[in-house]
Amino acid sequence: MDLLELKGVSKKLGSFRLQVDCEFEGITAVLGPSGCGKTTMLNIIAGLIRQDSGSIILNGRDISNLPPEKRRIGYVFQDYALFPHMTVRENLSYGNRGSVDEIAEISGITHLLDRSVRLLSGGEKQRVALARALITEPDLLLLDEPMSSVDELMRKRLIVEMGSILKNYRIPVVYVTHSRREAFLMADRIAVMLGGKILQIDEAEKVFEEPKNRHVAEFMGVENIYDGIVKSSGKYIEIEWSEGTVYSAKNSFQKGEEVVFCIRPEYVMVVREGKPLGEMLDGNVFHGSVIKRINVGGMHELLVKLENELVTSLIPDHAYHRLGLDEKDEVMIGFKKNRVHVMKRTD
Amino acid sequence: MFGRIARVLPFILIVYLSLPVISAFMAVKSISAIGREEVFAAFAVSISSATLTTTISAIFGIPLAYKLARNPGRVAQIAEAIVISPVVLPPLVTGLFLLSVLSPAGFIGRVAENAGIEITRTFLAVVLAQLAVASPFTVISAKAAFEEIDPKLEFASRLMGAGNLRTFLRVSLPLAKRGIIAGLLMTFVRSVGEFGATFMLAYFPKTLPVYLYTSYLRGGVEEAAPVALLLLLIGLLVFAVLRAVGDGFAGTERSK
Repeated sequence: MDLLELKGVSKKLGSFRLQVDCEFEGITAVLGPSGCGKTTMLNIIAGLIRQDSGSIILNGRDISNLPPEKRRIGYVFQDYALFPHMTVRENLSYGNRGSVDEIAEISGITHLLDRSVRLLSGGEKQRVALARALITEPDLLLLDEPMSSVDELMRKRLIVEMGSILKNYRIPVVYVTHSRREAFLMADRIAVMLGGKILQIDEAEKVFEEPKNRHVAEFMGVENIYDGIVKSSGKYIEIEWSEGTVYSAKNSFQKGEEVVFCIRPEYVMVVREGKPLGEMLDGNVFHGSVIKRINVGGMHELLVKLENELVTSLIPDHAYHRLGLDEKDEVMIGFKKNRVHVMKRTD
Repeated sequence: MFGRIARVLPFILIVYLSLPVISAFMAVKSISAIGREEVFAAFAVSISSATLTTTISAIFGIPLAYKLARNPGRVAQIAEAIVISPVVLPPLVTGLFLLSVLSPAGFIGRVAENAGIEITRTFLAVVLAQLAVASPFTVISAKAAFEEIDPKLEFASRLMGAGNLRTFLRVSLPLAKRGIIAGLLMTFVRSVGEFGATFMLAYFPKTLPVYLYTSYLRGGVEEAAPVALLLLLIGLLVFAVLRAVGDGFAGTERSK
């Protein structure tokens, strides 16, 4: 498998500092809010911005000091940057490499070849840009928010299409996006980037289920994040929380350690007061009342107020109707022990 | 009362500005003067010198414009101020200071003279005078056109394997085409009309404006008008081409 390594790459831009040390293989989505340095990182990899220090190794080849034209990198820019004074065919043949007809066939753009790029729709431009990035047979593909100019409905289809095209290439793909949905649709691995640093890079599932710290958890949409202190550590760890004791199946923590624990809203169980939730869970049950219900389209978000804390629970429409819960109802909420994820507080 | 004044305000200047163009055709009693040999000679000097000036402006001005557009900074700002200076200075002033270095008494003129090259009162002097006054138009317009180009297009070109020169020739230059052509036309028309600096630096060979001036001294408006008409027609022609080329000065191909 081909590999891109960034070794101690850093760049200072005003008060912002990018600092990246990681490896990319397969399709990696770099996920982060705007301004976190995603595009800067891509531009450094591509040689469009020079790093202050560190090195970029592509398949064992140090490309840190090569000009962009020698790096063998394909780049799909956010607004595609197709040459506006050329036709699609001229755009594709610009690099004088690869077969235009072949890549057009694979990308489903054969019928567009003789059209001026000015006349293409967002989706068409996206396909052409991908084809143009791949035709020179690069060793690495960079995509910078490639779906941002495509309408919502088209987006999923294009991502699936793109995925099936990229399956034919063994090259590392770095897919920059701020959308979790796109990241999961597209990538094998996810790198979460915040404030110029990659905080976690792992299998997509793992980043989702086991965020490394509070920031990653927040960015991955975990709304229930709380501070606690480890009371005891055994088969389960007991965490002292402002609402009582929380048990977690994660047990790599020591007694007295200050931790952060979290549970995704979809894993928070809710029942009416008096139902036998406690027996099922053996602990991790808390009393509260629903203070707000939000219909989020097929799902319902229940905001439950405990003694001191707020907990968000996400339940499907059918469960919501079966429970018949609404605002002001007294409820019990419960966490399964293996769903309570515990993190170090200092990270 | 004020409302009425406000309503005619926009038209006053335009009426005044159209005056020379309209009166040009009334002032000319006979165009036979245009057929004179010395008019033709001056015409030839003007057109050939302006063409050469425009060519030199293209060769040196376009790379300079690109450099300024792509490397903004303190040095570029100073360079730009130097480029703009002839536009804000009276051409007579530019001409006078050029004369002080290019005449046989000046240090460049002396070196040239020792090498056997005469500068003042030659065709070369005409071109040098025009270059000093008219080449900034090429640089300013081309720079604006280059700045309009999304740098990502140049990045995309380089990532596809094209070096700097190929990227410039195949992406930047075609995209800045309109602005560059507009600038070159301005340089040309300004060169044809150049009087002040040329007058100081090269009274001979006579260009059309210098000839116009001497014919006016000799025989007043009547004598000078046919030559003026000729200059006017050249100007109008270039203006028509400018309009045809597209939306003016900073015009560039839209990148989206």
